[in-house]
Amino acid sequence: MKKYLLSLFILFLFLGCNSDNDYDAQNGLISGGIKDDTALTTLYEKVYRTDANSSYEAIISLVESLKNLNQTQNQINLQEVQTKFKLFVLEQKKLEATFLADVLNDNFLDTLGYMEYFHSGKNSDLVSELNAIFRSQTNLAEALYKNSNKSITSLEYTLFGEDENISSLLNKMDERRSHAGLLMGEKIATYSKLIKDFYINDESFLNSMEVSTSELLNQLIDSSYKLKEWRIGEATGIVKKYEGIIDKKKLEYYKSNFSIDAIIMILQTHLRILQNGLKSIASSAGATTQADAIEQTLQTAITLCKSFHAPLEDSLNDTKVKDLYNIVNVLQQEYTALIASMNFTQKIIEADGD
Amino acid sequence: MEFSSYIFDANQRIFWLYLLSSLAIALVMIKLHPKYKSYFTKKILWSESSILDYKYFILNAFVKTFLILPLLIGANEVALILIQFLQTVFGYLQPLHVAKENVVLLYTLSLFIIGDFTRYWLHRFLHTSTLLWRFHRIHHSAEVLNPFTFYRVHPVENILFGLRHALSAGIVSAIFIYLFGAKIGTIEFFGTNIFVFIFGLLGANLRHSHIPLRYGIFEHLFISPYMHQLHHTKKHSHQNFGGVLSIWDKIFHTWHVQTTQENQIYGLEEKNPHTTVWSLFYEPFLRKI
Repeated sequence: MKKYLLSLFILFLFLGCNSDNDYDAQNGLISGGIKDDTALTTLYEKVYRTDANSSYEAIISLVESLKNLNQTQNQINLQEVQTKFKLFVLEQKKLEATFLADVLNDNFLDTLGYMEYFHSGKNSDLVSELNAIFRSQTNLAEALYKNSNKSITSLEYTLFGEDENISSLLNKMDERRSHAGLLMGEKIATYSKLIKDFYINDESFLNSMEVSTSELLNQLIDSSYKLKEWRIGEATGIVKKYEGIIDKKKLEYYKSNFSIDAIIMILQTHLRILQNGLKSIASSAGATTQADAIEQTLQTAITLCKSFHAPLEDSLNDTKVKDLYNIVNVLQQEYTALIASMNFTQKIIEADGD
Repeated sequence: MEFSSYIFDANQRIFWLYLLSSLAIALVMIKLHPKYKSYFTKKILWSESSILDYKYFILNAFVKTFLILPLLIGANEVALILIQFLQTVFGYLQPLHVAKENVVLLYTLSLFIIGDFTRYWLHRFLHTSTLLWRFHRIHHSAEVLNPFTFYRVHPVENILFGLRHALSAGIVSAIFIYLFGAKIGTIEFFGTNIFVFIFGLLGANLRHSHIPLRYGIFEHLFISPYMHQLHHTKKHSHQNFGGVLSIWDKIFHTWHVQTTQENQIYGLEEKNPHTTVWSLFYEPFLRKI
């Protein structure tokens, strides 16, 4: 009788006990298993395709304004071009923040490098090269033979100098310089179109949720690292390599003073990625807490960026910059935690007892 | 942890499919060697030792869930701490461009091999350390083997295995995440690591049984149920410490097989002090060395 009662009790426990605790000692690692199939499609549509399109539209609009400037070289057109440049750069930051075309297709491996020349360590060379080109009499198209000379970085210098005022710039904005700006804009537009067409026509991102999510997370970590180190840490002397050396020329857009806007745009893109699919994917893999933490950190960072009263170029001594660096550092760690959580459902056979 | 998950979760040793495959193997072996039928009787399955295993399994599941789990550090935490350490010491590394499939294969294999290696050594220490042996001997006090003997493990040993897992899986994962970022993942079948599944299917539950399933020449690579049964005998309890792979026993000179199929005597050399569930819990603390 006792045996039957015991059997019944065991059976009752098997079927009736409910607890969601997992004992780690008896568990190992299995992938969390991403289950939300629609999230990736939504994300690709609402972020990648939308941003690629917006970026292309912005560069086309900028090229139109560059054509006008090329004809007039007047203040109105210059100011219009500067405004359009800012709009395009911010759209481009969205695209760059989570660029995946290079992962999906080897043809795009160097595209971003061709389009922009940030953090190559040769900015000063670029300025002197451009000045030489503007002064020379050689055929402009031939003079601008290097990719770096037709990049967004070069266009920024062409349109803003090194943070120069409008009258000083107008004095320099002769036909050759404005024509160079147009050639740069057109080259950038060519790349932008390639990227847009790729995202619109290519579906490989949607083929494997596991692979695409991995690539996306890697890109987000990479983006947050570069944001922290390159776009904040180096100019403010926080990073070891430049410890204590404050140098605004190490900021991404020190010539146009758009650096903080670019940072905001990158953070907002991360947030959009999260809210348009990644959060759902993370939740389906059991990592809701980590996704929520990232969302919170992104919002905090964006709020902090918006609280700057002056451009970042003029705020490098502000303690808020150090705070921003620290917050983005937390963000990077939270992405790592998200990866771990999505892969640590931790279930393996009980290892004990052998 | 839900009790039902013990039989419906492929990550558990007594997952229904593993039990079924072990039963099928046992039935085939009984058909081939009718004398094995005596190993598979009520006398074995409802012996005092087996009933103690069943009771202890239930009680210890609660102990593990409510007392041990909240205290243990997990592989996740170890991995995160270590990734931060790697990034501080060696700097941030852009994830290497390697196809996810290759990373997953390598990661799955690494987890399995490192996990098995650390399990071998902890198991060996449990035997060689006087302090640890007092806890591990409750597992060896089973005089009759059945699949639930697997769970006759003192909570202190559960904690040690938990820490072993956290460290080994955490270190492997941290290195992989540091090098490959989010590309890590494991090859799974039925929701579990493929190696665990294969191991489970190949009669893992016969390790704690009296059916002497052998793997032939593969015993130089893998621990067969028979080899683990030898480990439970009074005579050879300090040999065959391996979990899945027997290569560790080979390398570290604890590998043992024998051709004679004498009747094995399981249990401890001394008089068995574990006759009640409670004694399994408290005896190791009271015992004089």
